[in-house]
Amino acid sequence: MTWNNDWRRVRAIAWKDLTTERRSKAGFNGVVALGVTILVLFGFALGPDAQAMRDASAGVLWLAALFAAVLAFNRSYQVELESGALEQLLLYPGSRWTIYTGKLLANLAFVGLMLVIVVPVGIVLYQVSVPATWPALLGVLALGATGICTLGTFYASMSSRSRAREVLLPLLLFPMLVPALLAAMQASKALLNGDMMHEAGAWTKLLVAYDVIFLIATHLAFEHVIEA
Amino acid sequence: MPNNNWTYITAAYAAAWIAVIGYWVFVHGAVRRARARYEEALALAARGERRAQ
Amino acid sequence: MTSLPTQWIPPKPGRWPLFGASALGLLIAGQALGVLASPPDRDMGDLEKIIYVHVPAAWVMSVTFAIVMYYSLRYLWKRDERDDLAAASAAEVGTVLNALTLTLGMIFAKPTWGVWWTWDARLTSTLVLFLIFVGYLSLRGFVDDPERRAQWSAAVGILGAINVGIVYMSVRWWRTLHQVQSSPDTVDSIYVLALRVNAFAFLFLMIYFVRRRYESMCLERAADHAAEAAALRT
Repeated sequence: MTWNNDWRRVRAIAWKDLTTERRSKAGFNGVVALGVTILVLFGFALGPDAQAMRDASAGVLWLAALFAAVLAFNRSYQVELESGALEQLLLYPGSRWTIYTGKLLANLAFVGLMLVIVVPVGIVLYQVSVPATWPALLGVLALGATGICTLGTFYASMSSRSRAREVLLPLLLFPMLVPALLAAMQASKALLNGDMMHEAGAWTKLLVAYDVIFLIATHLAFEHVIEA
Repeated sequence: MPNNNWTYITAAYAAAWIAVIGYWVFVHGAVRRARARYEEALALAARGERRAQ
Repeated sequence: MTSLPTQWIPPKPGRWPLFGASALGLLIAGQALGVLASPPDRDMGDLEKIIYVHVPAAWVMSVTFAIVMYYSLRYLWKRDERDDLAAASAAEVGTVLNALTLTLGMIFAKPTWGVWWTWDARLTSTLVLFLIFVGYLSLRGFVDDPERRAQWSAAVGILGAINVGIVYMSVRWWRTLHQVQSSPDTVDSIYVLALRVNAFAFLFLMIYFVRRRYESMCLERAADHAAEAAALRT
């Protein structure tokens, strides 16, 4: 019975987060614009040699996604913090993990939507040819985004309530994401090049393992972190 | 070439000792300062006690 | 005379200074053994001497971070603030050892491969680990409330420790999948006794440093508690 209640809470929180974001379209547009800007800047860093850009495209895309997503993560707690709603949320009886899952799903949707726009732009800018294995690429994007959003939502619950939140979130998050980013970048790169050596499979397995481990770990740890 | 290596070997051992001595000095300073603060806080509390009695 | 709440009595130095001095002595002995008594390696020549500092530092660093994980878990379980302080002390010492390991790795790399840095699996993982624990220490620096700091540090410390193995594995795949030469990490003529003595010396020094740092942190918190108790009484 409480399981149904919990999932209702999750959906409610996710919906609330998303509609707040949607009503402030500036937020979403800003994040997308930042993603595209980063792609352009990397273009200047790597170019004008088209081959160099093509080779680096997978890595650059993930970095652009990461930097843009970080903006979204702190904001996902900002609304509650400003209105004091976090204490209200905590007053309701029920499992704390529902707050975390709700926010995680909202962030996933947000980042996913952002990628829907930024990835095609990247493909065009970096003259990448879409491979036959593009469904697998979508899978890698989803798994990578999950890894980023999981730890991002978790660490943001702390950084957003501390001093120097802008620097603390990347400082904590980026080193932790190294395996996920490495796996996502290498798998994407392999798939874009036709994956002659079948590397993508191994990297994808690592990504799945990483996502599972940290989804569980963050859910367990969230209770300790949100009450404090 | 072999002679140059001894520069690196010396640098390595120097780095190790800088780390060890450096942290040694740091941690003993930290203990000293913390102990001074603690003693002071205790003395302050004891004085407050006596006044209250 | 005073009826101060006594659950916050800080630990005493006790015999620890003696322990520390002995560890230091052991280190000197171990290094003398390594530098003077071992013959040059046939591949690395005299550079093998660096191994007697590099490997012990790296190994003890890992032990230290395992200690961080242990005390972090213990804190979440028992909510005793002293476990948090123990974890923080270990994290600080571990980060120093980490920086040292990186430095020694670079000092070894330059004469061996001609460059100060190689994106070799071990070196790169150590760098990522360093960044993870700098994040841990920064978090502690930015959070003032002791209980919140303890809870958050424990979570971050445990997640970081979980990630260490995963980081190493992923970086190693990254290096080997593209057939990059990995650094030779086994050495034939290493003088095992010297390595062991140095390793234990570093281990004992680490334990000593963590204990003394823990002592200083406890004293600070005890001073806080004493001040609070005094304020309540007036």
